Amino acid sequence: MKWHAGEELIGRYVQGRLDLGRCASVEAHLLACAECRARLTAQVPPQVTDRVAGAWSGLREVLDVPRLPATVRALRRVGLSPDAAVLLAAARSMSTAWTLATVLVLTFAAMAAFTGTDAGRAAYLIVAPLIPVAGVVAAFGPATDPLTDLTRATPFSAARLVLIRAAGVASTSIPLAVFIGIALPGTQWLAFAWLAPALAFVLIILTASTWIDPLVAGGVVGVGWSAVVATATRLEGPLVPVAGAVQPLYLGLAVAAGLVLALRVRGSNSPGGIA
Amino acid sequence: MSVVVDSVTKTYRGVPALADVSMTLTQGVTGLLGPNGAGKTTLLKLLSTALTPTSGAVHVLGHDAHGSLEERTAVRRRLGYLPQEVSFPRGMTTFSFVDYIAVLKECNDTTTRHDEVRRVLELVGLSDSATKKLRALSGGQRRRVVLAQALLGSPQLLILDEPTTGLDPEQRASLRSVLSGIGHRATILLATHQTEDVAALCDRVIVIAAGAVRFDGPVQALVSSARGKVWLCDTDHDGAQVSWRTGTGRYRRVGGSAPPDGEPAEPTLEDAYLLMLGSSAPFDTTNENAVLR
Repeated sequence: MKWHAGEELIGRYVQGRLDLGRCASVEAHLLACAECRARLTAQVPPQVTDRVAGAWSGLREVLDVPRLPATVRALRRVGLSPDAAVLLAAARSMSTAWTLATVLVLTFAAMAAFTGTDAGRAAYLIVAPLIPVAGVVAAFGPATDPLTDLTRATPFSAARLVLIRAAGVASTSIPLAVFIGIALPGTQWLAFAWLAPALAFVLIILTASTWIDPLVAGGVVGVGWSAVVATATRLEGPLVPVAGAVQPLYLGLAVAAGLVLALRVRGSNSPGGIA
Repeated sequence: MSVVVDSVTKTYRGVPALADVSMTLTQGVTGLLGPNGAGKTTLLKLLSTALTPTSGAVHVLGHDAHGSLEERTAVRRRLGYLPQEVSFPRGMTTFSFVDYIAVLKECNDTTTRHDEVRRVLELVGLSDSATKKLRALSGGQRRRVVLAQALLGSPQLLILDEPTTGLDPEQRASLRSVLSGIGHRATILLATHQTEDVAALCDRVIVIAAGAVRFDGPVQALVSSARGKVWLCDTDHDGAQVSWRTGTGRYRRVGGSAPPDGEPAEPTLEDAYLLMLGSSAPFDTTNENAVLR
């Protein structure tokens, strides 16, 4: 730089006593001249420097930190911590695309139930509890989480990560599925009848994943549930697997799976891999 | 010793990837060379606690890397790990990816964490790409993103699996500068195929092949082992371990007998490495100045 702005010129710039043309000229020079920037800084009162630094810091936060997916934003509004929000936002099944796909699948299933036929109800009963199951499976594990190796090398508890994600997925997909079930006529109490099986399935998968890949566990549960509903539909009707008398069975299964899961996690066995 | 690997064996469905490997690592940058399938990545995964050994033990900074959860967690708190391959989750930006790993590294205060993310991104020269989607970055830039997450929290042990893959010469030089600075206060294990990176950065090199340590000693000792076994000659002769026509039109001959028109050449680390891999003779890995026996 062959020339520098004089102290007097910088002083007038700081005090806002330059016309627009000179102001633009000084600013263009300051962008390219570290020496003049340093002299400018020396003339700016500390309280102004602090204010600018604060504004810049705030601006960087807005620019750097990407917007969270809609489901995670919803959970933030009801008290999810900022660091848990970061963990959930990285899960595939919390993405906006996954949520849209969930809505689509559930809507089609609920519309099938709307027909009032056994096949339609069976379709809804098969799909609804498997939505949270699929979400949980997609939230962790070597086959679905591309960062498994990296995650395992960090001090964050693998079990805690899985449980945070499973809870996040369940707390967004289940209300969604219930809402769609209620919103469409024809499903009636069916919109709630699958909740106990879904809870049992999620816990069974988390527990099984302390031994095997969650994708395999999810696949077995999905095929098994589909077979049960299909068989019941053929023999006695689709509502038998979710009849009131059967509901305690799912709750019992959920409690048992939860206990085994707690024991496995205490023994350093994390769902989806080593803890 | 920062890291002690004691008689570690790792098998996959009965097939050994590492067989009775022992080594120690101290502060500074140690190079890890070996052909594809030699067991480098398996060793690094064991050190990073992402894998458990079939037998043997690994101690990192006084903690058992495969012991109780508390011991493993203690190791992970002091560790930075750059895996060989990372497939990124969809939709993540550079900033959100490093921020995610920072949360997993227990940096819970949002302001402190974001400042640390910006620090490591600046360290690898990616400050301007913080808001870019990872899928929009070049291969070299993505590699630097993964390096950035490994540097979070200034770890005492840095395990790097092929960090220079996809980097251009300028980026590699920049990476060397970063690593040499960190090497003064941390233990770095650098697995690579780039012998020039090892020659430029490391005092010590470990060579593994077929799951066993073939050499462990000063870089200069490995280079010296090739002295008198590398020539430049005008014609290509049979019997060399490897030879190629250089840009000057002459042939560089590594190994084999001295050719009649051969002019002895100063060996490089790559020459010595190639010679060692082709040699069936075991290398003495116990002497301080480990050389070909």
